[in-house]
Amino acid sequence: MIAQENGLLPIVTLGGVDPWNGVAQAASPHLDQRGLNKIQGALGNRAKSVVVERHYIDKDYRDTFTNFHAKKFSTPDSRCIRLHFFGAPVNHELIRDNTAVQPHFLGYVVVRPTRPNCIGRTLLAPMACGVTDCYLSLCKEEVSIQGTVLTVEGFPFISQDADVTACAQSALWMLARYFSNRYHVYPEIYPFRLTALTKDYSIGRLVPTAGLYVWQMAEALRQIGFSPVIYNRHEHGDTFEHLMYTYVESGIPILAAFDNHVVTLFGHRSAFSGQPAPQTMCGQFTFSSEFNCAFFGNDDNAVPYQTLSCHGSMARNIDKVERFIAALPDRVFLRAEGFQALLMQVLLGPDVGFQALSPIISRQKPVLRLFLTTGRSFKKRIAVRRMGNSLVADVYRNLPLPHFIWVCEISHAGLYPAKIMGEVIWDATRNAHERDGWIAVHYPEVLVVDEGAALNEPQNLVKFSLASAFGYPIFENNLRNL
Amino acid sequence: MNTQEPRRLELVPGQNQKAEPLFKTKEAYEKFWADFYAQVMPILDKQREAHRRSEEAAMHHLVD
Repeated sequence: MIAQENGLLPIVTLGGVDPWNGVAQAASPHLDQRGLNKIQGALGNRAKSVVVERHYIDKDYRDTFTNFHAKKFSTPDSRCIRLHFFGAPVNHELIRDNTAVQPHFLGYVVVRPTRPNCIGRTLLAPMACGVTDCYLSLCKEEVSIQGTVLTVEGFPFISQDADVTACAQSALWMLARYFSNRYHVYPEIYPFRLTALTKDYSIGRLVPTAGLYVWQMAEALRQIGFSPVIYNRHEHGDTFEHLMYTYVESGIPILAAFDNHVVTLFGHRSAFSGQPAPQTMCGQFTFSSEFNCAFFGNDDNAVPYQTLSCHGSMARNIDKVERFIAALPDRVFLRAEGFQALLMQVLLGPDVGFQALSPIISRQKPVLRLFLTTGRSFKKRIAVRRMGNSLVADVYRNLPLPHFIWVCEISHAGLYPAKIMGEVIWDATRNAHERDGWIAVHYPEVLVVDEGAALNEPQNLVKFSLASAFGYPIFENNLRNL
Repeated sequence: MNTQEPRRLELVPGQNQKAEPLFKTKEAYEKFWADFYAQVMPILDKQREAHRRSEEAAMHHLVD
């Protein structure tokens, strides 16, 4: 049923024998069968009504229209259609009351007049796509439907238009839009501008695009304020997927490149009840990455929130990823593997290693979880987490921290992920060769902090003996636990 | 003229009673870091080379 079919804002109630037929009618001619199949595939039967916003001016499509489509003899429409999805029936009366419809808002899809791919800027809530039991990086957007402001939280998606954007630009756009939505320090970048970022690093014409080389994608990221690092499976061997996981766990979406395709990965699913996957990085520890059974990502050829299995037999398994780019913030000078090398030396060293200082941790093989975060986020959660000992919490509260820190949480298999027993904190704004990167090593029995570097003075490692200890929660801020 | 010693800041009140230096002597401290980086440097060198090769290979990997 379509209410106000000839109006500027028809509302389709999904029901009956062919529920999506009304959407196809109301969103024609922009929405083709291929696009409709994608939307249906993403939302299934979770959407109960669709608000069709006609004559929608989409900032991303307008960018490519102005810079590319408008130069053609025959031009497509300069305007789009935006579809808003709700998990309950809504009508024109209800839609004016944001408190009534906000709980049911599933997100939106912009439909472009482009072929072969009409799906433009999209932000759907993971729950709208049936995604549960996972950890995802998400960002929020506000949308206005005739003045009713609604919020949606998800990971941005866009499909390539095959003219200005191929999969490379689409993957870059998804990553860049996540960052600009979530952190105000990153600029909002539009599709043509993304392509144009590589103009000084290209041979031949930019559009119609023939795709990008992986290094060009990294260069585009550098130009919009990131400090990208490239990892090659062949060069990083056994640690390649662990490093992918470590960045994703840090809330840093990665661009994962297959043989001739690239996707954006921003979440994972772990199976803590089973045995960790056999890996050979370091036999003395179990890494949290070993519990990972799938990554979540957006593939512009498919629908939002695809899973890439670690051990399955899908065409695009994680083991087919040949290289990836991690878009690090520009102040993160210490890479994940550099931190891990330093960490291993700390934890296994004769002076400050866990076997020398912590009988409690030495009882079992430790589980380690590595991630990057900000000093501000870490401190914000000290009061709730209580850090296993009040003295540790007090020291951490007072300790001046750098903007970015690497953290390695220490636990045991039976305890993780509910509780941890300690952590190592390292300055991510130092390079690996600087001993002043040491911030804290915390075991249940002892806390060692660099008081000197914290006060911008020469290193002064001091040790606090801890009379008691209790398990405390893992740090959760980078990803949303769904 | 200010003849006072610079104020010694504390991470927690009464830090002098609660904390002690990790290393008793300067020599022990220097030996710790010398041993530390003797172990770590070869790994860091390998990582740097792996990155150089990764970046080089990325110049030939087209995604479209």
